[in-house]
Amino acid sequence: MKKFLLVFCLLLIWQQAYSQGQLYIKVGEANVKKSLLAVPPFVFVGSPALVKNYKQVGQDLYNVFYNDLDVSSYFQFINQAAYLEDVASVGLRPKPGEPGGFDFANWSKIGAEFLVRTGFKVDGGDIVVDAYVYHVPQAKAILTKSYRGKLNEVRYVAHTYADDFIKALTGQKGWFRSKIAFISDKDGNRWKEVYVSDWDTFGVKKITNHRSITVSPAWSPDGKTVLYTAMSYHKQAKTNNHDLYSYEIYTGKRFLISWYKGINTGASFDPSGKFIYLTISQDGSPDLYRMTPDGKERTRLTNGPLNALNVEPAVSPDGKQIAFSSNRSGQPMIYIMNTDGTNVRRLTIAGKYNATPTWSPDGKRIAFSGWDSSHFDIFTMNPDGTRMERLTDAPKKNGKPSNNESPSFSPDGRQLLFISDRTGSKQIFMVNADGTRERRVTFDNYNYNSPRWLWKIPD
Amino acid sequence: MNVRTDENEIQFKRMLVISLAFHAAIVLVFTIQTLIFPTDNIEFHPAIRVDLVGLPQKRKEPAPVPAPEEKKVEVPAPKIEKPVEKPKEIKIDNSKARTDAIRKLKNMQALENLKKNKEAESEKKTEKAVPQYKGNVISPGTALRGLDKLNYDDYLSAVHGHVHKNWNLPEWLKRLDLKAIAFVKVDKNGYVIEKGFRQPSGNLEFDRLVIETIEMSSPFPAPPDKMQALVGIDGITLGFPE
Repeated sequence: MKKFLLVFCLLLIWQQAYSQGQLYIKVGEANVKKSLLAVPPFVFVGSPALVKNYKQVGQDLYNVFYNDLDVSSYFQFINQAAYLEDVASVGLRPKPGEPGGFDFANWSKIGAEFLVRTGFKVDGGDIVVDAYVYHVPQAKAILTKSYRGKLNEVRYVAHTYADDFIKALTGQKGWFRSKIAFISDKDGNRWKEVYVSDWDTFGVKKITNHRSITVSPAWSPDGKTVLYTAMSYHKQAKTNNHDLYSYEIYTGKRFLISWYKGINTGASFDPSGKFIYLTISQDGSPDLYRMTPDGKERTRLTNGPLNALNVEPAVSPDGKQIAFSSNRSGQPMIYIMNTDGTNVRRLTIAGKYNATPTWSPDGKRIAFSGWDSSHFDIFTMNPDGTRMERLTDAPKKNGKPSNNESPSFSPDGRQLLFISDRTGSKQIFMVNADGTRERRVTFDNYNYNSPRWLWKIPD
Repeated sequence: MNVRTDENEIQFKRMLVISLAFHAAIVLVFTIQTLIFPTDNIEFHPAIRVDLVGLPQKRKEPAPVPAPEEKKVEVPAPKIEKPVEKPKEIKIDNSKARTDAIRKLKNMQALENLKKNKEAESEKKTEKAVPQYKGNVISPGTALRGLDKLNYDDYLSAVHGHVHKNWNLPEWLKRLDLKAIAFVKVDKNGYVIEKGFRQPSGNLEFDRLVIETIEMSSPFPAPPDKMQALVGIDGITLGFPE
């Protein structure tokens, strides 16, 4: 009791010291600004006579690294014309530690907060990169690292470098080595198959060859398996059916998981990877089920009402809730319920057609595509339906509204991929989670659908 | 007559029995049907009132914070006469009410001053009669009232707005949710004479930007006469962000 009183008195005295006779102002939340970043061209430190294509290698390395940092939205790049130093003639490290090194004062004068200095060489078929990132106001290095990789892995080396920079800055992993899965007709025929690639759609690998229509790809939390639905021909019944498959990325094995009559689609893993949630229409109306990943055990979670559609389940990152879309109230809207099917609540009342809900990695936001009058746009909201925000609104070239659908959050929740037809065909686009900087990711004339970001990042 | 009545009664009872048997049969049939062929449970959902609501429009992107290197000598730009389009706002003109309030407060303060003078005179008269010792002297107190309180609040509000305008953090730093408590002492014109931390965040960059914010905010709004000593000696404590 005495101790408690003593602590209480001390707290009282401390509080009094701050409050009596002094003006105390809470300044409030800071305005957000971008950090000024200087990324001079990477310097070739090997022997040019021995490596013919070093310029191309250096350019590829630079472009991938630069694009990653640009997408992160943390930085504002300083125009190279403003540099006061000839970066090719000074060292990668600062003077006076390194004779002939660069001078922090020359970067401080132009307002640079961060300076990237990079040298690279080619050594026996490998690319070797010496990377330095400096915090100019404190005149100290925040990243000093050397990378080595095969010449055909230049992009991966650059992504790794950018990831390390972001980690040095924020303490959290960057996501530039993350993977995505998507549906596309990239083969140039009418079939839609499942593909996986780097986040920027480079390094594409086709993982299905059903010569059919596939939909709804979904990653397992460990990134080893992709679920998808393909339209398959059932010989005995002589009908086409929407069956659920799983594909193991590293073994190439494929398994038929659910083939009940009707649709077996919209599957998504729970965070533990022990269950999948999907829609099955075996009993007439499409309802949500929980199933083991081998498809052997299943539990029905919804039952109508009145033959209503219950589709597109998305499990929350804590594994406790499912967001899904349903037309039980007339129009398709977003609903939420516990993973055992109880406590169903309607989240959206605005708009005419809301679909494809997906969670942010921290579980604080749900993104979905919503139709209000003439087209779909991407929206986000809190898991209780409040604070709804529109993220997209870019029109087509002819000025008419474009359709923006199928959102998927990045591993850090700061960006979203989505599909837009603003350029004519359905292409993959990206937008910041606050609705800023809508930018194109794919640059061709094929059609893409359902981009799904894998949140697991390599160590 | 009696025979006829008995027949009617018998007839009535017979019909009653038939009716009861018929109803019992119906109940039995439905009961058996429900037991053998169960129907789906009817789910009842709470009624939701749905107003006709449109989805929200996209927010306009905030203007980027100007980079330090872009600071140049400002050339006075020609006046643009084009009216700025803004949604019409209904404003309540309270300037007259405020002026009236200040006038009334001034009058009240004048009365208070007269009263104080009177009291001071009477105290002077009684000073000799009543000896002063510890415990019988009334402190004037520190609570602000009337016009002083109004000026105090105005000054706090002005300083808050002035500092917040210069309080910028890069997003990667803002996400770390750091906190620092700084202080600043200013002269009568609002220029910083001393600054420092009561409680730094521990993050060098965050603390550097706190100090930079204070430096960029100099000169602060000039303090009112009665507060000059307070802000010059005790200083203003600034919580970043709270």
